[in-house]
Amino acid sequence: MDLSLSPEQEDIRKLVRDFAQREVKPRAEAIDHRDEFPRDLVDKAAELGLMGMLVPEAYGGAGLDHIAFAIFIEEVARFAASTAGILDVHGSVGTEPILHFGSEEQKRRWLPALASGKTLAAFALTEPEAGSDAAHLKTTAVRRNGGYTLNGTKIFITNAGQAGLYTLMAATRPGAGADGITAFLIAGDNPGLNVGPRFKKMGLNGSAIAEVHLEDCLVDERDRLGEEGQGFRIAMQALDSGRIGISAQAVGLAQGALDDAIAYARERQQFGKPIGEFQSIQNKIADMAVKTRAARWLTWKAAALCDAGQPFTREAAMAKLFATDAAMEITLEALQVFGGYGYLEEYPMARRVRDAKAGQIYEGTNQVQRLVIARDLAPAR
Amino acid sequence: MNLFLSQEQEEIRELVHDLCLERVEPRAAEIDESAEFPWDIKELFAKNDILAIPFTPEYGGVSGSALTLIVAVEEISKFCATSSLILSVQSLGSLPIWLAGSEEQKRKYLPPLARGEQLASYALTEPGSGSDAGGMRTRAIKHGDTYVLNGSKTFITGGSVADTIVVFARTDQDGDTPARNISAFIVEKTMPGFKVGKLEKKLGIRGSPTAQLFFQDVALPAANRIGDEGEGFKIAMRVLDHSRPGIAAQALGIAEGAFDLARRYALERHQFGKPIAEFQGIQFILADMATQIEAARALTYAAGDALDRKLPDIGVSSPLNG
Repeated sequence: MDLSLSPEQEDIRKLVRDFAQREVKPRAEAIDHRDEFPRDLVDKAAELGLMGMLVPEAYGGAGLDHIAFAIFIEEVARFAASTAGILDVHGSVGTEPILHFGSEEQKRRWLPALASGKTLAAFALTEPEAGSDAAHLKTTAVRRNGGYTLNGTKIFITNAGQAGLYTLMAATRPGAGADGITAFLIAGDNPGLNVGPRFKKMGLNGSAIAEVHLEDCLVDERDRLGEEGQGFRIAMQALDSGRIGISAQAVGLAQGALDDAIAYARERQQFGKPIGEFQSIQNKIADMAVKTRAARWLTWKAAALCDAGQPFTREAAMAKLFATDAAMEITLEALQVFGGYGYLEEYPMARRVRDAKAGQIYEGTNQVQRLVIARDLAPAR
Repeated sequence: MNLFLSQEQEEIRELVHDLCLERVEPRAAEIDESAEFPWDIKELFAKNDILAIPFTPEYGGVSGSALTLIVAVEEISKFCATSSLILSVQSLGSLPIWLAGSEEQKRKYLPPLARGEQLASYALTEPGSGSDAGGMRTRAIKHGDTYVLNGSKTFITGGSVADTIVVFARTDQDGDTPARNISAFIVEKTMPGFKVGKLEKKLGIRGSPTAQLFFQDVALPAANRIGDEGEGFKIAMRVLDHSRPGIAAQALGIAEGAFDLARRYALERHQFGKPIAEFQGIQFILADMATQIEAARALTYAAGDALDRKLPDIGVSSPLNG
């Protein structure tokens, strides 16, 4: 065991920390208050080569590992979780299915565009009536000459309307459950794909989350990802590694909240000394730091297993569960350290609380994570 | 970054696990019931070089790696936390010598501890000085080449079975700031004036003796002082930085042992026509337990790795605090 970062990972950390400090931090408040999609930050990340971190160099990417990716997402999320979410969905669930299941032709067509940031990616699994129970989705894909006709509605799709590519799951054998699901790569400009209005949300403002409607959407045979019936597996595998990014986003939220709480506790004077010298504040900060650290290690453990080609479903679910629950708790505690000021929108504390809540819900609610963990630990016979 | 244990550490884990499954697990309930120190387990650990894990080969040990020690303590604790303390305290009681002792002290005291012929202990806490360790009252007054030690210690794990006890005492003159003038001494159990008081009756870890120790005019050669006069508090704190991951490993092992049983039972126990592990009520409990364990293990191993890599801010483990 040696938990030091490699020189390459250290370099990435420096690069993304600098990007986050210099570019993301000053924009965070405006993105939140105006609910404005941060296209400028996506473009800047693209200039730095950060949009194709996991994509091999042969396809125009940086060819980095999941720990580097987790570091990237964490550093951005320290200042703006919604921007981190956009970058995460693009780089993880939006890109990885093609990496793992795409044909050579599909890789050549999409990966360079995704890696350069020219095309933003989205992942479309959830439906109004198929959330945790994703195997019972209702969107259909009916074979026609040389391809498929898709009909149905997807909901809660991150990067909807901004994305140039949707990796979308539909039933080629309706009623067959998980075995009847197939994955498709659908271009954002497909006339049969229409995006609904962006949802107004509790948090993650700036992140475009909306419905995606498929109305007689024609998709070529060559845009089917993997085999017919393989879609559910593709989606589950994407979500496994997607959870690394969600965990990293939560770690960033927690670390950002902790950093601000520590700085404030040193500065804020009451009863003649900084409040950081009172044990009630010290205890909060210690507890927050322990949980943040544990969350980061769980995230990196899942990432390391993933990179080593070992099973990591359970570890990724644990990281997601622990980190997002910790982020919720820590962002609330950090707000409390700020007292009345924490409640004001002038400070980032309230925004972090609003943003953290999403982590407990998306990419599998934390209740689903517990089921994933339990089934892995004690499988039904 | 490498998040995996080495082959050697995996082998030690397996060895300790198998040995404890065979020999410690059948004794665990009895040790708890009788609340007697398990000398047979101590012998077992000595014979199988488990007590040699905290020590490097140059002092008769087999490892010296903090992480390897963590793995061993974790495995023992799965079956019997009392037994794990035999190893943890062997480490704790020898750490002051190992970290701050002279070469002569190391050569004299560490090899018999590594062989498990002798047991070590660490005596810091006093009745009136717990969290506030700097407020201790035990005092060592220097007369020529000898210190005369007077006072008492309490809550001393393994204090009644130890051969070698590192005792912290004030060496200040009246009026000095207390923590500034504390020194560490090696006390041998055969020294006149050393007496073991009563053993505490406890909620748990009952086979691990928790003793009161009394020192009445114990004459200590100056050669038994570890480090310089006044360095004791710093040594004590540094030792605790090194020993805390061992306590974490103990907790981790206890949790894992409990979890393993709960998981097995949940798979076996049928109610309403199926194993209770198939009900979400139980699944959520199992998932939460396993996640907490994984988090605890990550922190504990990270601290061990930080110690092994000699990182500067060991106190809060690892530099990866953002």
